[in-house]
Amino acid sequence: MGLLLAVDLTLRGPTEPLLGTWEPRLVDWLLLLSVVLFLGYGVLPLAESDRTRQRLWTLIRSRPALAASVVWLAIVFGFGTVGSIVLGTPTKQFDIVYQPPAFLSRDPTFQSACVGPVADGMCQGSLAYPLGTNVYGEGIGHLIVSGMRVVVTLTLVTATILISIATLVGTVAGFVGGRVDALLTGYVNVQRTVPAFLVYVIFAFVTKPSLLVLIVVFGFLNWGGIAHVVRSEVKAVREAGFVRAARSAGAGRLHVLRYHVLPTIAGPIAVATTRQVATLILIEAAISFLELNDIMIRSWGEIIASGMGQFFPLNWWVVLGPGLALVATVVAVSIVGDALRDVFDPQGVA
Amino acid sequence: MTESPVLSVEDLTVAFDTPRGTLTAIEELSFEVRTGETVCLVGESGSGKTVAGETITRLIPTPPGRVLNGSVRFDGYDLTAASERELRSIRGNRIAHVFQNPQGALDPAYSVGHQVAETIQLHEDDPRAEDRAIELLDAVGLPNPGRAAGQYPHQLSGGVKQRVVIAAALAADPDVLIADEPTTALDVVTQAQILRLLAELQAERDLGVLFVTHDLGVVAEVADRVVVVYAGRVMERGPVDAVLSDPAHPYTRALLASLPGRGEGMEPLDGSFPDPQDRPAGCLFHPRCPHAVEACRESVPDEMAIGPERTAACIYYGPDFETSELDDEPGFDSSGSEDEPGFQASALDDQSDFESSDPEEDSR
Repeated sequence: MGLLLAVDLTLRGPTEPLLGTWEPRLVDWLLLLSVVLFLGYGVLPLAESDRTRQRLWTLIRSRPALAASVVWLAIVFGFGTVGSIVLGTPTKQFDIVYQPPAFLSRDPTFQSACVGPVADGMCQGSLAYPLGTNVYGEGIGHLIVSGMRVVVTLTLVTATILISIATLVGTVAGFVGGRVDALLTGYVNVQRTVPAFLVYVIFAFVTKPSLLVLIVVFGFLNWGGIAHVVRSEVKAVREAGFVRAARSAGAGRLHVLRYHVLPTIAGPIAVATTRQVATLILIEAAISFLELNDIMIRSWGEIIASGMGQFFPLNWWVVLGPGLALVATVVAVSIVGDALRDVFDPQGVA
Repeated sequence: MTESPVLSVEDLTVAFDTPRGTLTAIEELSFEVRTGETVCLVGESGSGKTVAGETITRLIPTPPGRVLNGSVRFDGYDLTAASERELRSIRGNRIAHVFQNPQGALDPAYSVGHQVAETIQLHEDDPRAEDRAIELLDAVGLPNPGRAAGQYPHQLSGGVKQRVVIAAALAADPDVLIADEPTTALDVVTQAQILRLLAELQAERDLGVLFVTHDLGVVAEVADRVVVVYAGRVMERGPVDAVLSDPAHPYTRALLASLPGRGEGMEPLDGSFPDPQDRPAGCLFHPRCPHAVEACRESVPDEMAIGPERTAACIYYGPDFETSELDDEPGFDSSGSEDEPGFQASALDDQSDFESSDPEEDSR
């Protein structure tokens, strides 16, 4: 990966593909990095520990909503990373705009050509575009998949930034204490008064609106709450008997931090981050809806916004699919966040 | 017992800087522990005995804690001046601790086998650490050590947890064990079992044990020698039988008299524990001492030899007084307990934290 990045940064021309047809941009590299970190430091340790795996499994079996959420997020993750590369971007076909979903028909107001059969003078949907098409003739199913790419990029890259900064700052503040703590906490309190949304809007007007700007602004401005959680947890754990016991057994500060403090605060970090991420997905949709986004990035919010034009609600399928995907993802992230708290809770269900 | 001590604390003075001022936790405290023997540091809540135990390997937080004076000699090191690196190689490996509360001493995130192995791995790179941990769990009397190793702290009872804590403490085969109220959080039956276990392990491994406790019953059971501490200073020291059967210092006498079911029964100790910020001049015990005279207010009495390996820091054992005056019992029967009647019974209560400097806070 490092080699490819080096090649990308030095040798590759502006429009030249790196491998096959793959033309990575900065945001794609960030996604790749985040995926590696997410799998390496999030999924792998969970899967390696018999105890957490067993707990997760117990929880999944006893909570159907959690099972559904995990499956949905796995789909989003799979299609968002590998699937969208395989499928590529949807093609615009202006001769087949506003095809209805399969087994349904559309209002005769639409005058465009019909791919499926025509019955009783009404255009029926076809299996070629099972979820219908939009004003550009792009398949809605295909658009939902490319929206997954956006949502995975947005959430994983932002979460990586949030967790890294928040854990570092919160741990240092809580573990070192004293003046360092006062300084960091003071800074965090000031920074938390800066509304990331407003900063994004300003950036969107000054520079070109883009997904990267959104990620950077929210990633670097919204970690304060998580840092607060980390700090107070670290302060509590620092005084715990097992930390004193570890020190009395000859453990140094870094050992205590790595093996006793961080595992204890992993749960609160996961919960606080999933809260942020769920909100962020909605904020991205809101920004798209306000047309403050990069319209070339086909996020779910952008698709919904573009469907809310003159034909709405006759073209309901354009809005409904991405809307459901959006809601499902936000809800699933919250449910999984709650479950992670239980999985990480050391005293929790055996 | 004339062999040289494995651990020796000399003139140790430790203070804590707090927003309210500097609190003296222990003052010119000296004692030594020899291989194979148990020394009990006895005192009521706030007497500084826990601080003493934790200062030995410098576990006290610094700041706010400060070692103002004295030394801790162990194997050629002065631990008060040792580097953090040296201390780390001594903690657990040479001098191990067992603390009061077994609930908190184990990390809920790891299986107990893992935690015992952790102590081993902190000091040597042994691929067999997990197996050795199981052997240790067997040695501390866990019925099914292989199974127990895979269990998590919340699945175990307090007594079993304390056994695990002891196994972890002994994992790296230390020379000295500092046991700070190791049985206080346990019920009486479990307490007896843990004390027996400690005695067995001590004999097997020739451990020097510093046993910190407020409980004179425990002292009678485990100690070879006793050091009675009041407000951070030694009041009396000596072999356990001598001290308990024939207490010399008025404070030791008062302590023994306050125990239920001894002699004429419970005689609570009047007055309150000195405020660590505003320590009395002269003998620290004089405000509560029934035998106090003007001279007690004026200077701190030296520890005076009163028998084989025995000392008492009381003016009555000096040249100017007759010891027999102490036996006149001028105060023990009379004055009653008008002031603060609720407190005295708790003078020997459970807590031992140095923070609980105000005894009334302790009587919750």
